[in-house]
Amino acid sequence: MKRNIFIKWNASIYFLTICTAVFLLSINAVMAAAPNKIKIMADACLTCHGPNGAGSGKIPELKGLEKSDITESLFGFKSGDEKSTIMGRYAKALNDDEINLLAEYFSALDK
Amino acid sequence: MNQLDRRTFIKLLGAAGVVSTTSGLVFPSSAAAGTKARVVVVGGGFGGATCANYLRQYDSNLNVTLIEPNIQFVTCPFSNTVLAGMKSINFITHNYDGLRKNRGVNIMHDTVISIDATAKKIKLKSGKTLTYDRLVLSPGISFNWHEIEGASAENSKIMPHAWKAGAQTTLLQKQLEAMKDGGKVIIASPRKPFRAPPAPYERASLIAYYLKKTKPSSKILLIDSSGDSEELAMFRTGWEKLYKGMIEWVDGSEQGEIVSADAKALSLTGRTIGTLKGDVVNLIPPQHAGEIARVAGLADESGWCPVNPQNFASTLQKDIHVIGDACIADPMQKTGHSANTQGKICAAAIVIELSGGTMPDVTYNTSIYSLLNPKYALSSAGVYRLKNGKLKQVSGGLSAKKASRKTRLKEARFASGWYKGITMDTFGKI
Ligand SMILES: Cc1cc2nc3c(=O)[nH]c(=O)nc-3n(C[C@H](O)[C@H](O)[C@H](O)COP(=O)(O)OP(=O)(O)OC[C@H]3O[C@@H](n4cnc5c(N)ncnc54)[C@H](O)[C@@H]3O)c2cc1C
Repeated sequence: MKRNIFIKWNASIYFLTICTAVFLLSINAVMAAAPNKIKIMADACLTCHGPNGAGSGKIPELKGLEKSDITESLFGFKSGDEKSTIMGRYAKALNDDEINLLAEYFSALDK
Repeated sequence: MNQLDRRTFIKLLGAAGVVSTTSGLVFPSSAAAGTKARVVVVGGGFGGATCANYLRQYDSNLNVTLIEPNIQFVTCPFSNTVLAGMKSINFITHNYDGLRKNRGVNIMHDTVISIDATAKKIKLKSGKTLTYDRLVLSPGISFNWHEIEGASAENSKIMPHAWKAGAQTTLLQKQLEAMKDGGKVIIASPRKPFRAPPAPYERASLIAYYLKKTKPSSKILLIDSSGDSEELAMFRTGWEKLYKGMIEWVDGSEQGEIVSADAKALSLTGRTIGTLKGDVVNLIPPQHAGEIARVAGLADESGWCPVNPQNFASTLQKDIHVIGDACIADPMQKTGHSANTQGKICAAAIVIELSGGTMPDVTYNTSIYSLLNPKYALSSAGVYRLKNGKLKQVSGGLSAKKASRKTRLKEARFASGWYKGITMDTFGKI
């Protein structure tokens, strides 16, 4: 079904679509290549941080934070520069791309 | 635009040739994303409830049915706080309204009695049969009573296990309440592997917390099948500080294992440890995968279910997935957090597979907090990734060995936050 709709589109929309795709890829190649990966990994955070990353008791919220605040914390936890009880043990498992993309994901969630 | 709005992002991806549900995963547009596939999930605990919940979040077109006999679920996590009189049983009791109303999961309060993996059909206690495209089992544990002479479901009404929460939790709590000051509580942990490895330590701690307040001459004898460990040492340091002289630890590993129980005499016998008598006896029996998994031929000779950890598909039966305590997901421990993680990953894998995609490389997280008192907690955490088809730990470990009381307090606060978070996340509360 979706294919049919795709074929019926006129050339200009098609062109626009491709531009959008290229634009997206250039913004964030990894995210565009692996949106499911980041969605699944972000959902792992909700076990402790609560539905929608809204925070849970003394466990802080993630949604709507500045991306740079999240990356700063996660890189800090990972290196040990930022003291933590448990987050250091989690952040050490993440690579730099994952940290950036998770931060982007949560910062874009509704504030 | 350095902050990418998720919805815009998904919309743009849609325009670029992939489709997705509003809050779900992204599929190749050529695939049958949004098929009306029918997924049946068995067991509404941490694994099953999470899986049903996320199947519907990842693909709102899926027909998802959760089968669970109980109308309410009583969690083992935080059940030790009920024994200690810190929380009521209501605090650890949850219902399925969130899954039903917020996620559109069909809930059937029934018990699966048999599975026909060839015909893809299950039979329920009520006499109904259901067909499925994919079946997910998260039946938790059953007890191997026969390994301990004199132990039985019947005798657990005298020597409660309280290793499945609910009536057993209340029973043990009442026994502790009725015990005289100066009494002895025996806690005997089971042969490995078992559900929630550090939970016997948490139990000893919180029972000590209760006894210290109400019957301070009482003692606890912990017969520990896990033997000595770094984790135990951290608990023992805490016990020294908080409950000096109250908790006696006995090595119950290997030759020390309990071999018989006498419900009348309230005593337990181990090969090397002899016969020990208590006033309250908490005998936690050896465990294996929930009975239905064994009946359905999903367990191997170990009594647990081998799976492919990428999607938790059974390696013994087609189109059936096993998650939670019942599955073999070593080195992930058998915890509610692990079951929740596996529920999500299994849900994602099913949705992605049904649409012809491939499961990305993701992290598998787990943790378990243990309270030593309301203001002192320790934790154990782990992150795993798939390497050559096997789960390998990439980070994690225990709380800092040396830390201030402030840090232990912080972890106690996080333990409460964790409990609230995971129960909302699992049972679809918003
Ligand atoms: C004292 C204690 C403390 C714990 N503390 C923690 C903690 O702090 N953190 C943590 O992460 N974990 C903790 N755990 C571990 C946690 O409880 C388990 O790991 C978790 O419940 C496993 O989830 P599951 O889905 O595999 O099984 P369960 O949560 O036990 O769910 C299984 C469900 O399946 C249903 N079922 C079984 N057979 C059938 C059938 N034939 N048909 C239909 N339904 C069926 C059962 O009724 C049950 O509701 C603790 C455990 C104990 C005992």
